[in-house]
Amino acid sequence: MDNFFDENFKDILNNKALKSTSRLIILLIIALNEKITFSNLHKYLGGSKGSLKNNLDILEEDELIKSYNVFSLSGPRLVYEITPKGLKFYQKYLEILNKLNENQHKKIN
Amino acid sequence: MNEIENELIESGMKTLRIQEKILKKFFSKYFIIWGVAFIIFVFYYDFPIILNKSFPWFYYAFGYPLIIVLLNFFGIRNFKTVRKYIKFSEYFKNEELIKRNRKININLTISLIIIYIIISLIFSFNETNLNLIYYFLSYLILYFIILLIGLITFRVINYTFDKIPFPWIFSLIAFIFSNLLSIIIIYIFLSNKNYSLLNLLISILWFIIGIIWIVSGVFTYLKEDSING
Repeated sequence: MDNFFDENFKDILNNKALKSTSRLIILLIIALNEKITFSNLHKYLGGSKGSLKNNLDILEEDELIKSYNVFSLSGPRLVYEITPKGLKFYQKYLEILNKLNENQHKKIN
Repeated sequence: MNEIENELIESGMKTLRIQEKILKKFFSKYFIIWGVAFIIFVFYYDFPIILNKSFPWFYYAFGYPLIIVLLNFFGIRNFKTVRKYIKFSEYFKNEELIKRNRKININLTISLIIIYIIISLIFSFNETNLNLIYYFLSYLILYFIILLIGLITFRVINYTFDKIPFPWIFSLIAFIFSNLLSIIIIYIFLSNKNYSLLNLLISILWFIIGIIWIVSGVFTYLKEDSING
């Protein structure tokens, strides 16, 4: 199992941005929704706005997500969108889960 | 399992819980959108009757799908997000559930497109054919197809959420009841050739259903507690 992780998922496990589970959850949420506003993210994730912004900035620095402003009737909104690199990481994460499930089944059988 | 594996799985589980909350908001909008659609349909259908004019076939053929597409701009996105959520949740669910979820993925989009096309065709043919038996049969098919919207919605909601909010269940039951009642009303009034009262009753019935769906959607959208339980 350790070899499997070392060989296949070095990039996701050693990625500085994804070392924190909070950031991983944020990335997964953005990947599932493709794009989401900062206010919605804050509403669903809770915690402080500063901490959330900090985590989002780290993910953006690593080009896993990108942000832009959109203008709506209720004023400007900051939107976060998954990037191709972020989507690749999301796929990798699903592969890890798949592999973990397979191993779990093998253990049961 | 080692620590990293545990963290990865726990992150996924937490993501699932958060995503479920997001989808509850999406489905609340879905109910509002369809509620608005029902009301617009009532007025759109009654508009030529009020004016006492016959409108060309494309008024019906393109009008209804256009209204649905416009109103469901967000709704269609819902399903895309729902599909992704279902696929994601497969990693945390048992195999029997996975098989059922895959069926939903295939059925959803295709079913909706077919429903849109058939509804528009039925309405356009209805306006050009005055044969009573044909009229009744086409309405029978129409309400059966509309019934599918309710059943599809129920199926998707049922597989997405562990517990369906009560206002949604009520809306769906009212919707199914309204379908059956519409068929009975059409049968009775067509037999008696009482067309004006027929239109009025059907319009009132679907206007009420529209209101129920809007209220149910708004209620679950605003009241976080009611959709969490």
